[in-house]
Amino acid sequence: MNIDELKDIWNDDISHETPEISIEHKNKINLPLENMRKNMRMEFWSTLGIFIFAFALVSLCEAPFKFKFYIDILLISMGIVTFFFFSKFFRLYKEMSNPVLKTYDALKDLLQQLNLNKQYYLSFYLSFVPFLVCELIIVIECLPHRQPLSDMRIATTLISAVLIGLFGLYLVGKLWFRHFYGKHITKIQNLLTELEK
Amino acid sequence: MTPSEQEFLNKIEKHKGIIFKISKMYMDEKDDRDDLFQEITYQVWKAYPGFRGQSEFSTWLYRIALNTAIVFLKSEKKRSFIGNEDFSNYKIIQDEYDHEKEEKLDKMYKAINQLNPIDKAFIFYYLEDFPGKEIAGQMGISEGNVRVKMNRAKNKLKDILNSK
Repeated sequence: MNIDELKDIWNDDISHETPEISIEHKNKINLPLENMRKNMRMEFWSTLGIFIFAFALVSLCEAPFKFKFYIDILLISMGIVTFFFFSKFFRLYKEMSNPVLKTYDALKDLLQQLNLNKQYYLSFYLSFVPFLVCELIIVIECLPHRQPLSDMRIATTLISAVLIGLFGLYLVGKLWFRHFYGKHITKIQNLLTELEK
Repeated sequence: MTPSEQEFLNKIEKHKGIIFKISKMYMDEKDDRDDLFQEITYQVWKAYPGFRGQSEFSTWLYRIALNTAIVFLKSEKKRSFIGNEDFSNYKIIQDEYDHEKEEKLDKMYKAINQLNPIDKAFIFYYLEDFPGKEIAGQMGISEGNVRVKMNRAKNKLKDILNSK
């Protein structure tokens, strides 16, 4: 088959049996954005579940009032931060994607928005570092210990916990993001590279 | 149905054939093709209030259709082991069934399906006889770049067709 022949074949393709047009069609999960929105919703509900579980655990455990109160305040603060970030994520995903733009601009716009979201995501994970430190201080200060902890031990515990926590958050955040969002960003990036080269 | 919905449906009805052809270029399985067809219609419907008539409706529609198709994902649901269904589900209804023509169509779409999404867009504009300047406007790249990419896409398609 010759490439010039294709135009005739193309023009001869008159389909009489096209699917029925329905403007009530709701987005199925076939667009990268829709997929990411779905992941984001799943992430939101699981985070909410973790918070509820944490509150229940704190209220049920036998610990001094001061400890339980501090942890509750900490959890509420974490909840506020989480709510703030998720509201940003959802708003960004809602406003994203404009297929009316020129193809190159549409892809570039989408990629920029996704990268912006990536930065939000990174900030979201890093915002948990101070909470981790606070939680540790509460545990050290409020829970009774058999022997009083030395200054050196407190310092070592805190510093190593922060370092391990930071590394853990970075690693989990990176893997999580790559699995649920990164592959779609890579796809858009590859399309853009294909158009640029 | 509101007058604007009716007006939209009338316009899209005239172009549904081309939307379906784009769906066939981008998706090789019936379910995915139907999903893409509906997705393009939906995206055009969402964007329609912003259509100011500065360009032909068809040109505007092609851009949205291709932009949607380029980033469209195949559904992740499990497929049967029978594999890719051929295009025989969409045979042209004719008094006399034209086997040769169907074979050629089948071969053409199967070859186009092997290209990457960007090359498919260029092949679409080639098949629709779009001038280089207009393609550059639609794709947002220079005319020189269009020429290079068009030739590259055509060569790839030629290679696929010749390899069979």
